[in-house]
Amino acid sequence: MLVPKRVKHRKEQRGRMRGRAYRGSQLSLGDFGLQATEPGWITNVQIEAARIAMTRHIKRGGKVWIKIFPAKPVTAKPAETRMGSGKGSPEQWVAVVKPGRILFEIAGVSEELAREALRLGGSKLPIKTKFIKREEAGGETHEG
Amino acid sequence: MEAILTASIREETGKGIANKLRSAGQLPAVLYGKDNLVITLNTREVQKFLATYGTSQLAQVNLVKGKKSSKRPVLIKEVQVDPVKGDLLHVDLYEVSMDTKVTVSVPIVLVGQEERQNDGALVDQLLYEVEVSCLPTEIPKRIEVDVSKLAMNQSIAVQDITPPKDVEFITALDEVVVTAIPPRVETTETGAKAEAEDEAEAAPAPEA
Repeated sequence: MLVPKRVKHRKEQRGRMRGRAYRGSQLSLGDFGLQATEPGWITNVQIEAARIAMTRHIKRGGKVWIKIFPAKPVTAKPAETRMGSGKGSPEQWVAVVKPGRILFEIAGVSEELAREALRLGGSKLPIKTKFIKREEAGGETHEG
Repeated sequence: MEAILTASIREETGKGIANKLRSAGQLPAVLYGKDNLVITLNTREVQKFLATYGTSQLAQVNLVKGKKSSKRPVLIKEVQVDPVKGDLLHVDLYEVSMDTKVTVSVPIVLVGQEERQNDGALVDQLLYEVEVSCLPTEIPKRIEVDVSKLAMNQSIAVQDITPPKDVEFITALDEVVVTAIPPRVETTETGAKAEAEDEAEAAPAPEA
């Protein structure tokens, strides 16, 4: 499971997810990718579930890259606790994702296999995603 | 054969004007290199150009101002694209002089994958573009890399590729372009291990 080795601050404020992800919005390593089309927090458990779904579908060959990292701690108060007494304790780690961000990349497999693997992986995530592929001319096609 | 892009010089700048142009099928752009001009292109024309030639090929821009028009050789320096919709947002054109060398990124294309003996290796392309320096008229359309003789655990670096005539590589010569790596095998054992790990790690809260 992806967890930071060391962090500067144990607890963080929640923040906002305005705008689009211009960085990390192009395929860099693989031939196919899964791109976020809406903002959201993706937990390390969800990332791991998606990775397992994709690698099991590919079975052999191919390579999968995880392009996001859950670096943000999210706190929660215990159930049935009165308000006050300070901020809760860290419960999970999330990656902050904005629309346009490439979440996973795949190489070394056919397009049909990559498409199905990424569909299965995307179904483990709390946000809408789409499949994209690299084009030879240097551009990318965007499909639904 | 150079493609021709039609451009008109615009006076107005800013976010509002740019958005109006985009909704009218026009594309805000800038031209620099010799004169610095704020121009407007036709979005369809630019889309067709990018799909056919990519961003590394020389183009002619037909600059229209009133009744006058002039042709200038340009390179596409930067293309801004909406990361979700894929729509073009803005283009930077760089006016080049035909007798001065330019530095451009040229796509790398792998050839000979079908002739390669099937040893089960995964041909992993690590570098998709290589920077070259040459005259604007000598820019290669693509750099082909033959992988037909690439064996398992071997790689091809930039220094192993022969550049076309009058073209010089700017990218570091020791940078790896393509490598053949052993395939990843998802056995039932690792699957079970992953499942066990998944269950074990799902419970604890983060410690930091």
